[in-house]
Amino acid sequence: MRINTRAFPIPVVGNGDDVNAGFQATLDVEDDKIDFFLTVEMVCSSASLRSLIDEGVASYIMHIDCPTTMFRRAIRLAGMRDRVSISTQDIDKAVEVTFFIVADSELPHYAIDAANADFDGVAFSVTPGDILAYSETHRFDASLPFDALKNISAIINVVGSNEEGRRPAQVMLTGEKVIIRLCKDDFRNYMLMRGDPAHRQLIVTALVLPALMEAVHTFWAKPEEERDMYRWCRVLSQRIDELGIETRSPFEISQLILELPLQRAFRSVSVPTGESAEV
Amino acid sequence: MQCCSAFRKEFEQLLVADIGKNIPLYCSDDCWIQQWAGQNVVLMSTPVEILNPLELRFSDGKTHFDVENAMQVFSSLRKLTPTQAADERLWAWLTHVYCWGYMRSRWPIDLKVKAGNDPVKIIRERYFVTTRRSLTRNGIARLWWYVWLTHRPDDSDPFRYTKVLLSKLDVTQSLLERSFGKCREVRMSFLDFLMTHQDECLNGGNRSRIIVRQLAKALNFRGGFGLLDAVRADAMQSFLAKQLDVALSESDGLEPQADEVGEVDVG
Repeated sequence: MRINTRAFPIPVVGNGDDVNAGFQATLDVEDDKIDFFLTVEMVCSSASLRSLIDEGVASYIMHIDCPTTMFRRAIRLAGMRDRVSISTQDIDKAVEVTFFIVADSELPHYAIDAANADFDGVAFSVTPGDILAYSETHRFDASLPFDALKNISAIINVVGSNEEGRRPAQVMLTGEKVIIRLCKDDFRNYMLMRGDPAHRQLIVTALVLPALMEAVHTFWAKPEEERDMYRWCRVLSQRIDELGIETRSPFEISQLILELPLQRAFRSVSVPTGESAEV
Repeated sequence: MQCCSAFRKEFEQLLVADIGKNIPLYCSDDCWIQQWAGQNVVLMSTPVEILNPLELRFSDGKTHFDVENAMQVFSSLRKLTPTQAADERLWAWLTHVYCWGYMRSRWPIDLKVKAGNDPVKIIRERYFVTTRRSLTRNGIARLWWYVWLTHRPDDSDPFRYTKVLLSKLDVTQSLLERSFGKCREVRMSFLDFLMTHQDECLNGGNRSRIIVRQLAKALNFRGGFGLLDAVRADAMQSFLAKQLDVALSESDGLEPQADEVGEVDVG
């Protein structure tokens, strides 16, 4: 959402010289092929606005707009630092992200410190939804290097079972999708960890990679006429063709399809240099 | 189970470039793509499943069956993700091949030419996705997107908001051609309000039409200095209720008249 300097009926932080205060946000975008993770850190120098947020009558909002998929959403943020995940299936190409401070309640006598002299001695009536501050608009490209019509994440589902205790994860390959089934505790941990970029590569290497290897192994073991039986088989076959993969090794094929997850995993953990590693 | 195909990008671009030359082909009752493509490989396979074969009801020129066709398209392609559904190659295949008969009945190019319409514009708009706005204009894509934008899978009738969206041309246009309609919360809140106040907003003929336009205009104006997307549902309903009172008082002199348009054909 692009906001040009405009004549708001109330003084708005970030709008020209309405208020001598700043509202900035830094945005970091990462993805793990399944979700985008938007990490924001905001700085608001207006004490008036910060106290309205502390009182619960105003909120920090992340506004996401993706015209390609008609995805537009305002997300209330938990604080000045927050992280939001959005499925890679929901947004594509150009995405605009703008941060706001918005009134949540009626504020019949709204005034703000450091407002332009034009507003001296004037109180305003603010209604829910009124913009009190806005940041510059951030843009990022949500195009992923693979084709959405052949998206590998669309054929892998992680589900939880009701089984308690220490049980191995299972892979089910008899439906349209590759289903990874985790016991109750593992699934709870998976749900907690999947939004954390620090753990994301671990999940891909520990969970998705072996499941995909088993799927590739099963795929090769099938008679040729049955290799288009399930959706995951067809997607796998397309990806193998497109990438021009010649090896039949499930381990190598899976890594190529997942775009070398081991390398990403190694990069995501810091390894002290000069030390030898033993397995 | 059958899966959708899609045109290869270069082929789709070729078709767009040749719309003017191909107008006679678009007047044909038979699908001509394979013959036109000759030996070229024009299709790519996709994992998008057609869960039930599409049997769209053909338009008879007066009734277009948009609501039931939209529900059918969405149900059949319900595994489609928004990123997949934004892909022009998929919709071009559906309009030119899989749903050719439906497209012929819904936008008969020969009749449009006779009526003095610009066939290139109609073909570009209805058979292709060339701009962001095209997703709600392409002959098949719009049916899927109408439902995607308004369905509530957990409701007893998941399509009841879709039915309101498609009940009147003014409702469809007010929502899909204005910026505030892009936000799901605002869109659903608006439709919810129309349903709650259907006597005034939907069933009052010409008067309802004016009221819907006024409500949309008021929301648009409100969006000029507020972030509608962040307004909670109850506050949105209160705002619309106030605007309805204003609109009703302003339209007091208007007598309800029969609708001039019974079916939605946005644009």
